[in-house]
Amino acid sequence: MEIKKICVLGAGLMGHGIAQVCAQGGFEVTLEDIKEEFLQKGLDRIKKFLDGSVARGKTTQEEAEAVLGRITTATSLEEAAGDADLVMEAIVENMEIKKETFRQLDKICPEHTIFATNTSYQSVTEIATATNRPDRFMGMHWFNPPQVMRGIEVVKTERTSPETVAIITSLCQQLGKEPAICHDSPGFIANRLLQAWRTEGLRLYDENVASFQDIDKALKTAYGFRMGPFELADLAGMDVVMAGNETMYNELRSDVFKPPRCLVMKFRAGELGRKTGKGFYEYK
Amino acid sequence: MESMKKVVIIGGQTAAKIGELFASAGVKVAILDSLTDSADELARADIVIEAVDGDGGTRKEVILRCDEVIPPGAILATTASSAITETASLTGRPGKFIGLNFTFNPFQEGCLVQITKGLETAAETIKTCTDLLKGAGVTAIEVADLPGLVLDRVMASAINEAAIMHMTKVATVEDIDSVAKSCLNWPVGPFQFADVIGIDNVLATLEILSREVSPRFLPCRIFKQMVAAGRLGKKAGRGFYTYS
Ligand SMILES: NC(=O)c1ccc[n+]([C@@H]2O[C@H](COP(=O)([O-])OP(=O)(O)OC[C@H]3O[C@@H](n4cnc5c(N)ncnc54)[C@H](O)[C@@H]3O)[C@@H](O)[C@H]2O)c1
Repeated sequence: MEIKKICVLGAGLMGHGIAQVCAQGGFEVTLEDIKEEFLQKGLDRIKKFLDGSVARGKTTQEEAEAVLGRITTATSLEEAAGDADLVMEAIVENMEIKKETFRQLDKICPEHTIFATNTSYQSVTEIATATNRPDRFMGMHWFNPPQVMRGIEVVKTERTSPETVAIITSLCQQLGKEPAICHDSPGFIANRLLQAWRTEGLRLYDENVASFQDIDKALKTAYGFRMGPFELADLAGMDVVMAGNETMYNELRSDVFKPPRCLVMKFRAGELGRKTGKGFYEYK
Repeated sequence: MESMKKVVIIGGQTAAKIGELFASAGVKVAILDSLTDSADELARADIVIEAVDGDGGTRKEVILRCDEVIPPGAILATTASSAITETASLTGRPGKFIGLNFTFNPFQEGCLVQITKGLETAAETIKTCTDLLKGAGVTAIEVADLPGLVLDRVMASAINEAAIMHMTKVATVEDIDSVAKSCLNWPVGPFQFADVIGIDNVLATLEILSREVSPRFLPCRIFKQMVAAGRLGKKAGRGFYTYS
């Protein structure tokens, strides 16, 4: 099967970027969200990104316009996904809302349409149960910002067919991305690896082994990591990091993911990181 | 101005690298590959760094011998990443004993020293070492005497989890490494890293950490099997990857 039309659900942080990458790859894209204003905001972000690319000579004005020309918007699932070959869902991270959305899509979309979810921590296997096409259902986990990050985790369940995996893998390559195949499991590859690394870093501070500044400095200087565990926690936000740790800890029942005290206390104090001006570091 | 410290480093390859670092910054340094016939150098040293690549037994022997022959006021340091307080207690100078753990970035320029304080290490000893490293332009951090210090603990946690993912069929070695680089912006993947560090070293670190820090470091079974099979990583031509 050849993918021609792609529908992206959710025009937020991830969805607008995913839609842009697909349009840059030459695909017809319909971007869907619950309100017109969210769609407009998503389109504005895409325009801003493309303007920047033109300004830096990375792309031409004509090409940028062509990319925008391939993106249409809709506020109804019927209109957006009725003739899509692939639906990529990037809406709120909520199991019930995701399931309900796919339940409706299953009725609206043609038989051949493949469904992909961008969920970070929900079970792809469980979301797929809302449909009658578990063989054409998988995770496609993008990274922020989608326009820049090369990797995509292609998440298959026990029920995903090899054809679906092959189609999505080659689509990623067509989009200039590097797909990595992984089985549906908590945190997939990236978030599990990141958490094993970051959580241990935070725990060293709990145990007073070194100052948090020195822990960050150590990993950057000795091995060339771009950011240390504390800088990363500040960037992601304590609420997001906490939720990730809790999910992994509950799912895998492994102490590796047990939320460190320093994280819990930052969270409780409302010092969530960059977005509140203070986390482990202060931001002006 | 404080008189320039005379540094003596004992050991092989690692000692040579540390020596080079100091020498290029203009620090007076001597490198000894053994303790025989070097009484002069040792008797005049201000700081002696034991950097013996090898087992704990050799390290201990060198440290005890140095303790006997170097001046009473000299600082004695070890590059070991654990048991600083215990080793210090075997010497006659626990206040002047310290850990100076050098990590040379295996992938690009860069070196980090983890200055490790034993329970009895004097503040002055720490200051002398901090000043020496600062003067030589080397990045250093102060860490408490816990096995694995900062670097080994964080990396061991990631490498072990990666191995568990691989052994439980979440993904292949290649795909896990690829995700580390393309999704997390890591300089290398966890398996590439393990191969460079040496699988025997990864296993040894995890074993110490699981014994002395927490059972959460229980080594994934693959490491024991790889060590038994001689797949020690890059240095053996074979680890998670094959090298020619
Ligand atoms: N933020 C990240 O770094 C990141 C990375 C990888 C994956 N994800 C995942 O991607 C998904 C989206 O995350 P985000 O950060 O873009 O969130 P976001 O809040 O920025 O965007 C979500 C968008 O979905 C819309 N939406 C909500 N319910 C909808 C519905 N029923 N139908 C259509 N649209 C709906 C919202 O109006 C909003 O515009 C989540 O599942 C998240 O876990 C996020």
